[in-house]
Amino acid sequence: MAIPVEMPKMSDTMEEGVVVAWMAEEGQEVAAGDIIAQVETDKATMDLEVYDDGVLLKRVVEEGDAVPIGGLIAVLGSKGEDISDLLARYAGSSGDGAAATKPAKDQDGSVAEALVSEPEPENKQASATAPPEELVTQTGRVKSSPLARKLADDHGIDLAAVPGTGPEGRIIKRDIEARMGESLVGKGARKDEARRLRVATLSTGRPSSVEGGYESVGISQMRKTVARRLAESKFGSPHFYLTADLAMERAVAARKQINEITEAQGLARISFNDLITKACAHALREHRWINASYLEQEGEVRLHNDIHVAVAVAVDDGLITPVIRHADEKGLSEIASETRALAERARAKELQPEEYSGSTFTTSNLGMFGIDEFTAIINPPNACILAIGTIRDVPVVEEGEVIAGKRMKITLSCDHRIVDGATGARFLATVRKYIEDPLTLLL
Amino acid sequence: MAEIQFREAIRQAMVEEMRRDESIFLMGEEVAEYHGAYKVSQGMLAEFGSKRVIDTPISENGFSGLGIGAAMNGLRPIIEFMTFNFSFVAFDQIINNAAKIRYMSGGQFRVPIVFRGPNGAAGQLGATHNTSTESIFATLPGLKVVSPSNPDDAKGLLKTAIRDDNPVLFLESEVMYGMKGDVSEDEDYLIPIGKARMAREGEDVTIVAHGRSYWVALKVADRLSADGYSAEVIDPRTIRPLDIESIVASIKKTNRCVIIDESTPFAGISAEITYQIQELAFDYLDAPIARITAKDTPAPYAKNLMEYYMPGEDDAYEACRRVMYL
Amino acid sequence: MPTQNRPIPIRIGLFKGFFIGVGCAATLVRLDLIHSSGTSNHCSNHPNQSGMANEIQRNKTQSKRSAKTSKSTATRTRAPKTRAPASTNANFPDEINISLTFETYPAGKYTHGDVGLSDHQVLSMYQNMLLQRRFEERAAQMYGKQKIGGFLHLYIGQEAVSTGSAAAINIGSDSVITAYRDHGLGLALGMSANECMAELFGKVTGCSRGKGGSMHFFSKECRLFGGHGIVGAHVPVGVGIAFAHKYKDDGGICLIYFGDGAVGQGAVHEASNLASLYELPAILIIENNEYAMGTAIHRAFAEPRFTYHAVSYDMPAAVVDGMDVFSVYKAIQVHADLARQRKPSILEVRTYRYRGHSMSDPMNYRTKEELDSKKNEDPILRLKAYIVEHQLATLKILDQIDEEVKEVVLRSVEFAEESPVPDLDTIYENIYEESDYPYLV
Repeated sequence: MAIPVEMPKMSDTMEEGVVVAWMAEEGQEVAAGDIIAQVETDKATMDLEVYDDGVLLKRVVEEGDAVPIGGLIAVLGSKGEDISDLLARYAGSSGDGAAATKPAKDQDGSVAEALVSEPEPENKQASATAPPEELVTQTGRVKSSPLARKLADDHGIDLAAVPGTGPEGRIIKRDIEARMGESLVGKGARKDEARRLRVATLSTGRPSSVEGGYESVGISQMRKTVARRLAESKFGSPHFYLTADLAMERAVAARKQINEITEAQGLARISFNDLITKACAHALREHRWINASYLEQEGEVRLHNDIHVAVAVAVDDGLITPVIRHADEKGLSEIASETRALAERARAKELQPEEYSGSTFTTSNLGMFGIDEFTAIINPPNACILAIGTIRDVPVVEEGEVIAGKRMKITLSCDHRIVDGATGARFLATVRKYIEDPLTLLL
Repeated sequence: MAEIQFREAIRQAMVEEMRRDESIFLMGEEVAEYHGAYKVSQGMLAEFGSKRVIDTPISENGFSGLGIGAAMNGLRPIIEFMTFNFSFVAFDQIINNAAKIRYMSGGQFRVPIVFRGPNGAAGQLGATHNTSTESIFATLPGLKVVSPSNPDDAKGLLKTAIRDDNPVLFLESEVMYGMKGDVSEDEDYLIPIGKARMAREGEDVTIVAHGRSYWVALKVADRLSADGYSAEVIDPRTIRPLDIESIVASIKKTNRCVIIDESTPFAGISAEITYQIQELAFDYLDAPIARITAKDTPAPYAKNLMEYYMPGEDDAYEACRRVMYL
Repeated sequence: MPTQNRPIPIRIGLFKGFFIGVGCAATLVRLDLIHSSGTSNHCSNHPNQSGMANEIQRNKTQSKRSAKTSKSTATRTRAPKTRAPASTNANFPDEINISLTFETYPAGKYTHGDVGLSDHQVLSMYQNMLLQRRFEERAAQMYGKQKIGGFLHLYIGQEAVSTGSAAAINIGSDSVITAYRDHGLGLALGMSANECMAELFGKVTGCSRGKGGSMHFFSKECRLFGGHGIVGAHVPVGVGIAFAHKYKDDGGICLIYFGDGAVGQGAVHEASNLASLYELPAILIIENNEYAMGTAIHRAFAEPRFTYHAVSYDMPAAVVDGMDVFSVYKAIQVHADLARQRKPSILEVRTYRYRGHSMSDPMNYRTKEELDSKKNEDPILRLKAYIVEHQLATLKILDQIDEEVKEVVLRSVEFAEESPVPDLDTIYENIYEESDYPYLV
């Protein structure tokens, strides 16, 4: 007769317990006094002891699931016994009888359906060579040989869906081949056919390569550096993003005017990007916590006195961020000519380390590619990076009329370790002010 | 080709090379008047005289060092250890001098010398006389370590070893000296050091085995064949340099590997081969690599214990079936 | 300046409670092996020693020959190697008496003319000893400035041994091998101060391309088969070098230097036996500086009279005062001649190192008085006094030599300083003959 194992009350204040580890396998003989699991209560991690002899027929919950006191954890019984009635009873009873609380949608009874409908072939639990596959998946890790993993990957087969026939349910090459055989030969393919298929696959020489082959390209030093630094930044500092849509009519007009002057005087033409660099530099003066670095190792936040704005430049095998030093003290024309010179030197790979390091803020512009908006990864040790989209012609409503307008989206990525939402938003508002009305830059 | 014994193949290699090159001499305990403790050097004293076939006192440290000095000064000594168990008293000479003088001298001095003799287990001789030394020596950069499994390889590899300008440890087997096999009669029969021999082709499992273990591997392959499976047998022949490419190529075909090795397991040859396979062929493995080695104990004396100590055919057969998931 | 016939203090044996013998500037110790037995003649029918044919087989007569041998050769008679049949027991000795004679080469006994050195040669020997001294003084300074890593064992005080030896052999065809205190011998054999200093600095221009360091000087050109770091381990190698000289019959010999500490190593005894057994052209030279690191010889050896050890190997042996370069020169001359006649021998050269074992040695094991008294025997000061006394050169010229040597050493420091360190790739070079290394993981 099937015996339910329920979550016991293990402390005076406990309401539920989390099964943190299973100590017994399904199909395993257990005796009274054996520990079958460890349960974490609100006070401690305790051993879950069984009080009856029998075979562990079913582990009803997975590791990590919380179970209320009295909830079903496992079922003991004799080999091959039908436990569907028992499972249905626990699933059907409301309140304290519910099994796991983790999947909220399961609370309405779908757990019961799933449990009841799951087939339990009698010989499966008894078989030593082919343990039930859910044993493997329930522990959250699919056991497979390296070769099987690679074959599955190459052929787009979901490993979790393949029954493993190796020791402890390990998925091995023949299991993948059997699955491939099914799709090729049909469900009726027998084992020896699968084997023949395997031999055929082997004899073609390259069973595991992606169709069409590939070109192997070495990883350049720049690629490595980009990969390492950005991975460190993205995974090491919590990013959040603020987007603003800027009205660009005045900026467009202002740029036109300015460039009439620069042309006449033989100066460098001003790009929108130069305007944004200037706007950011000015805004940074007013927002010291954006012009900052969070230095975990040194155990300090640095609020930089100088403002050095880096501009991301795409080069052949990666990207690089040359720095406009003291950008807040430089005129638009100076910023324009310096940016252009640095970008050219970057593409020619002539930049010196001091020319691309030491920034306090970075901008990245993909507007020229027609990108509306995007999020950028912070260039450490900066606190923020500004991602600039293209200037779009959009219909805007002005004084009740739809007119042609120009808009540009900018997205600020912030390191939440120093920059909070409001801090970032205030900075962005200042940037908006300068770009939407470039004359304010003169104030 | 002529069918001769393993010991005769070794003798042929030494005799042919000594006829070719005056700078080669053979030195060791009982190599001259006694004709060799295992009759490997039978008749050589008569042909070459006592200048070139030289008996020594029981003094391995001394005559190993003497050989190294002679090699530094232009000769090509063959130093025979009555067994490699006795090489341990000459360890300092082999490890600190033979292996390192080229390096320490910035390449000014070379040490072209062969240390040869029987290695590994030889029956009920107890712990001191049953050591497999290959993993101990192979750990040292500067040394080459060769371990042939049959008379033909023995001849071809020894001739190459004698002509090699590096110190070579040539590991024979007491219990194989009487083994007969077809051997090339070509006086320039040279087998390159560092090339494995594909002894048998197959597609279900790769068995790697050198020296005496190679013969265990062949028996296991026969049994698997009777079961309807084909084993690929690879004899590395040289331990350092190790022909890992051949082993990996085979594993890419079979996806499984069993190593049979007379050494003890811990940090043994099998461990090194296993490491290199996982480094180079991880994605091709369908099962953990299995190894069948001597027990991790000193060699015992009692007959039943000694048989149990050695890597057995049954164990190797079972290991093959295990990695094939049978 | 010691007088020429100053008695040699034979200190060995004091603690044993007896003197071997003390003489004046002459033969000191005599050892004969006399068998008293019922039969008067030694057995002459001992069988050919197994395994050795004529080339290798020692051909030593079993008859008494001590009276006939040259003065410079310590000899002894041999016991019969076989006995008469047990039934007679006639050849079994009633007792065995030993008396030993060893040649000595005291300080002050020889003028440069006596040993065949020209005035010019004496000056160049002086210059060479000074080069070693100044080189090592500067090396010590560079060690202090952390330009030199690892160990630095200085030879200061022992320069007469290296220079006296090198002058007495054919450099380039004779071979030399020594232990780790090897700078002096290297410079004496003609290695340049530049390549030696660069090696100490770990530079690619060093004699061993920066792979050997202080303890591992090698020079194929000068036939220095190495400084060797493992005490005593190079002595069998040296015997093998001598073996090859004999095998090739190229007339070369091998000088094998080792310290008193090495005498405790089994390898030295195995090598000594093999050298004598195979009659190899070798001289085993014990540089007895009285201390193995900090262990005085009488604390390390039951028999610190090292010449006695030679008796076990049937080799002649002699004692040399290593503070007089002419004594060393003479002794090496004599024993090199013996070696060329395939008679290996042992030389115990009494010397003294003024510095510690290595740079980290506080020298607590000896007194300042002992050190000061030994400094009075400084081999370089002794030679300087000799040169002046015999008017081979003026003090001014000697000072000029010193200045030149100092300049050479300073330039070697500059050379080492400016030389490049080895490329990291060179770590894989010179391990095997092959350069493509399929052998390294």
